[in-house]
Amino acid sequence: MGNFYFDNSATSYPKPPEVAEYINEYLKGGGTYGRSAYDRVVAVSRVVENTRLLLANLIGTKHSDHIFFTSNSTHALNLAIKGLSYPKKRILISPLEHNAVTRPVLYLQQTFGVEYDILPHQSDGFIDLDATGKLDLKLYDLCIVNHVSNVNGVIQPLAELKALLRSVPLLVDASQSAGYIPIEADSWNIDMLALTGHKGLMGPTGTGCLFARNPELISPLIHGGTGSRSDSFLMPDFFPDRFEAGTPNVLGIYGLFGALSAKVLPHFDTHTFKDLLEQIEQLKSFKLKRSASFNRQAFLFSVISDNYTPSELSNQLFKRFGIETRSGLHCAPLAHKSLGTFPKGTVRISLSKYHNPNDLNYLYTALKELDYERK
Amino acid sequence: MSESSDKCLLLFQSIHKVMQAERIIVSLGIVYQIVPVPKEFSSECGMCIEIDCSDIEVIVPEFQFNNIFYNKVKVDV
Ligand SMILES: Cc1ncc(COP(=O)(O)O)c(C=O)c1O
Repeated sequence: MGNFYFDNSATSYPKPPEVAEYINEYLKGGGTYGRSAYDRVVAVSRVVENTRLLLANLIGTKHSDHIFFTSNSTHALNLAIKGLSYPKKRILISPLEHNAVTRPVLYLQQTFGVEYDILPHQSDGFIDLDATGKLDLKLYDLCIVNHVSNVNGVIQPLAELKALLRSVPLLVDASQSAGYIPIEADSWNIDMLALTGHKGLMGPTGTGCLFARNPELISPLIHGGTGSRSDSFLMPDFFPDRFEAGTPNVLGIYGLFGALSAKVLPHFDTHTFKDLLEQIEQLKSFKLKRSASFNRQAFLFSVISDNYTPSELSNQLFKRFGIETRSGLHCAPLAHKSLGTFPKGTVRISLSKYHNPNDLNYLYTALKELDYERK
Repeated sequence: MSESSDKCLLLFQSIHKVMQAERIIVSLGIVYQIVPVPKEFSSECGMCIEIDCSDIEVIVPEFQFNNIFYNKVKVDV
């Protein structure tokens, strides 16, 4: 039986076997992170710190002490967005942001009067760099960009954008890119980056991190015990401890370590994926929502149908073909507004590295069958 | 390494630094032990590294290169 789970942008499935192995190891071995020095604690602390290192390597930074564990990217984005200060009271965001960004941004607006502008863009939401270069960027305290859209899979040009932004800090939401496409935080000069462990990284839920190049600019979101500087009533001023109050999700971090150690390679190649998109594009009753250029396309995209509403289509795919997809707005109403698919939304199809060409063909065959039935 | 060689404790701000230091010490092939931080230094993180004091000079340049700051104390035996 094939792998018909096409909702990997919500959360990845299956996980590499190493995830369960490491979680199991932790359940058997126990122990907390830091705070004491008996063997059990030392073993846990090693795994937590090795995971931090693997994450730093994954996103291309040398500053592993500037990686802060969070419970997901929503938490990481909140830490950055609510922890920064906004003297100019104005920020820029991309047209394809998820609610994990837009809701904290609206909170800033309602609470502190911080206004936001949307970056100029093309019809697929790809940032228009020429038009961005003409903006008066000195007006802004921050720019936030979703690296890969969770609706149409557009990959944004981070290095080029940061070159234009210069001293305006860039916060990247790498929820959909981490694990799928390369990230070079240091050479692209990215200031902050949020990621989640359970999507492209194929780890367990409840894991994620924030990377911050200049963490001294961010106030902690959560205050409490760190096992360090315990004589002080204030949060430590060093990193990562400043942002890691409370016992970390050691169980999840073990699983994430397993996922990052697994180094799974895609079981399909980009040609097969491109063929799939082109084949679906031939189906008359379907319209693809994807990047205008295949070079800027990640392994997820959306479809809309002339025959079915998104929820009907998703339901048909599941009931008749066992194919799991997600319909609706994908927690990204701004993105759907920018793409003209608000309020009905789309059906999103998101791949796993474990899909093979037969799985992609099965998906196409199902869509083709539904296309024949068009009214 | 003689049995009588003096022991030194290396104290770090955070577990992150202890583990970074451990990786360096292992790569240098130096004998070490992770031990609890003595209670007179309770403000530091829970664990520290014990090595022969004579090994310090090999470690220092590596720690400097990797921006690892530490406090050194000699252990009274
Ligand atoms: C672009 C984007 N940002 C943020 C998130 C939030 O991820 P999490 O729920 O793991 O915090 C998601 C996932 O739904 C997403 O697709």
